[in-house]
Amino acid sequence: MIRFIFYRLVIAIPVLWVISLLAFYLKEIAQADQRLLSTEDTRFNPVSGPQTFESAPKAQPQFYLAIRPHRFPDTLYRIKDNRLVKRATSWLRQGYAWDQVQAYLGAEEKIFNSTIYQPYLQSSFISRAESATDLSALAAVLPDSVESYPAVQDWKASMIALTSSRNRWALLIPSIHWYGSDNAYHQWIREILVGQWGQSTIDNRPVWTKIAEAISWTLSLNFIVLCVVFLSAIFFGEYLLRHEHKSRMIWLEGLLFLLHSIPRFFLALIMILAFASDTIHPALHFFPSPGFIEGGEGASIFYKWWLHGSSMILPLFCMILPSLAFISRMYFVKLKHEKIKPYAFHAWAGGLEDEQIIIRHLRRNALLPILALIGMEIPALIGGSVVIEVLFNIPGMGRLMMQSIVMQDWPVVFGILFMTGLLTVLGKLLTDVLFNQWDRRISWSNQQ
Amino acid sequence: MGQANIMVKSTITRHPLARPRRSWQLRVARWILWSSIGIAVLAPLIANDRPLFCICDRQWHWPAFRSIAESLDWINPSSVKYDDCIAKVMPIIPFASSTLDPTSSGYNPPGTRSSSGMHWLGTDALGRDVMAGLIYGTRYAWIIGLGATLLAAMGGIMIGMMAGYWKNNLLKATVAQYIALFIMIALGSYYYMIISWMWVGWTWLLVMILYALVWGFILYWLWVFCAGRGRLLPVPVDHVIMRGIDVFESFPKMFLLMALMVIFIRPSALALVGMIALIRWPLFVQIARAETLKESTAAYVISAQNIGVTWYHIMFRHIWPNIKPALITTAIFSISASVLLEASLSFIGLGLRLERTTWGSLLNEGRQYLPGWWLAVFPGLAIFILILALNWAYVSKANTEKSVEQI
Repeated sequence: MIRFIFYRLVIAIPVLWVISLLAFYLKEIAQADQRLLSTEDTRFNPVSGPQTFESAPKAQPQFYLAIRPHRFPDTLYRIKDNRLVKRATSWLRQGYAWDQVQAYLGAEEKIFNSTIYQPYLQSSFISRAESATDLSALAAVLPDSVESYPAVQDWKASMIALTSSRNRWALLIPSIHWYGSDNAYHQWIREILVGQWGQSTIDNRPVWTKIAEAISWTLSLNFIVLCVVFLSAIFFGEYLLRHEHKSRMIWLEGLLFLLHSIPRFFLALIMILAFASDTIHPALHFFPSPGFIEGGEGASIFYKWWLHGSSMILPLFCMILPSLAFISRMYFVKLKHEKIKPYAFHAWAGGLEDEQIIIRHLRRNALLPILALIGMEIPALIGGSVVIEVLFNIPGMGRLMMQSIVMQDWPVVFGILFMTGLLTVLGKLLTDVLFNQWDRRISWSNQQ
Repeated sequence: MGQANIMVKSTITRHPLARPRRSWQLRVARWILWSSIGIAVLAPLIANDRPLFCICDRQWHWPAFRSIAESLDWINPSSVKYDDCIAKVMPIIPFASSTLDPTSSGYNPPGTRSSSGMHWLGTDALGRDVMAGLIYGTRYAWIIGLGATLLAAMGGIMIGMMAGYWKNNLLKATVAQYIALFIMIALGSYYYMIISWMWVGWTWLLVMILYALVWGFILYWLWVFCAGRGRLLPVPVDHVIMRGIDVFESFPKMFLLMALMVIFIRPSALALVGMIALIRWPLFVQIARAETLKESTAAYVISAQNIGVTWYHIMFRHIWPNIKPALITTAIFSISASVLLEASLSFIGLGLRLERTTWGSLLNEGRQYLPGWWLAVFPGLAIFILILALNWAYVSKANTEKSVEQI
């Protein structure tokens, strides 16, 4: 058993590492795009000039090592201007040689920076040339009036050299470059490990505070849902079994099946239309419309529930109903499977009452797969139901994740990913230990 | 006393080997599924703002049929105006999903008449017909449900069967084979990167399929070539695959999907299919592995192994027909899960591009404007009916296969 727990905790390490890689990668893509957007046209704006960022990263490679064609330079990360990087990478990927790309970009820089040529080159030409990655398109945008200038001729010569340097097959030879620990990922992960999780970029609050507030809502909601669903599923499943052959049971089973097939967001929308708005009839407007839910900084979750309990009835209902239908049906099916096994038949032949057979024998065996089903849902329980939380404006994990992804608040996104990954691993460990306590037939060796 | 005994009836009434009865649910489900596939395929002929047939300048035109070819990029869009043609035959619903109503924009309740026809189920904020939106939405539901399931099933079943058949000790490799495998995987992923720089879209997909075939061929012959030199070590196929899935299972997948949708701003349907398949394949791996494990202890597999039948023959000719029913059941379940996933993504506003009307995006509009109840009710009913039919088909299938345990 200790070996099993140890194994599960070891599994957590690659999970968290992969999550950190993923979060870092997402952050890098998004930030590169943002920089590209925000430096647009500032270069030729004499007033503001090139913009400088406090958060502009040092010239660092992204990761410990890079695998790329041997023709690529190792120092591409030193170019600060993102548009230049984009153009250079585009040419390199088409198979042009780095020396020629560099020479060409230098010649282009000379034209764009010199005050002599500025008046002759229309600004539209500059912006077109600046963003162009297609060489044939570049040659076409040159105005005829400046053909004879020496710098322009240099530029043309370097373009011809660049064109002839193309070799696609050279891309096929890979090389690995080791950058060492002076890289952006290393720096970021060190801060994370030390405990500096940073602040949300939206409202500058610490990441942990935001997550703690959200997770208290999600966990308390899901706890209630889980208790209600579990207890009433036991009741409904056994009720169905007791009255299996009565005709009215067809209707109950059919109803449960219909409820199980209703998408939660549709149910929620219908509930809001009917009971939280005046759309159908004002007299049906029982519950407050989904609005602003908040309990002040640092208020306890019980106080928040006291304040907003009435807004929670509809979401709870929408979360409970479909899963109640699903779990009850599953439990009923499991009970039927157990019922035809020899041990149940023996118990019946020995003269046990129905109640005794169900409670003492069937329930124990049929509940186990149901618990396994709930164990598989742990990531969803921690992550919260995004749709319900967005629809009812509940500030839980799902809505926080949605907001921070849409507003590109990467510290919070990483915090949530990390939190959910860790809690999922621990939750699975806990359910497995509980299973073993419940049913000794499950051996640890089967699960390793 | 008054209660029926739970043990009596079921053991007496039906013979345990009797064929299960065809349920009415399965019949209804089949009917719904086939007709919705028909609607999806024929959408431009049912709802279109162009006529099915008309005569302009003494020439016959079939504009609606033409729009099918246009939507597949087979031919260029025509510039003919069909307004003053004669003998026009309009489709049943004279709106396409993107047609803006010229007479009245804004939310029109069901039954509103406009200059070109009746809005049976009302319109949305821009005056687009909801009925037409539902019909075109059927297309996206099926493309995403079927596409994601097929993609996930192809990858997942292959991997799962390998894990279940070879386990940890059946496949043995020499040191040379280990090295060859490592080099081929490393080079393979490197050339994957190079190839994805050079082609995009559908061409990329075709090139990738070709590349996978060629690479598999080379790997197989390299494997055969390296065999028989040095001593044999077992390959822990099952361990590697199942540990990979353990890691993958701990991800919050909905979050992953949402992040991808935001980073690659509103991707195409093909990319969405790929993303949904990415989070659905572990299910197929688990079921294919469990079923293969069960089958591989059967006498027919062991005898086949003993008389020297090759592994691929055993896997595809002997084991595959026996595990197919369970996997088809899983696939039906997976279709409904994928449809729901796409609908909930569109519902929170992270779905396909805006001009593509899906059921989820219609529901999203209904969420933003509550008095327009028809925007919430009808698309929701459409999703509900499709999911219900799929669930019926799934449960009936699972009952006949006696494999309800695995969900």
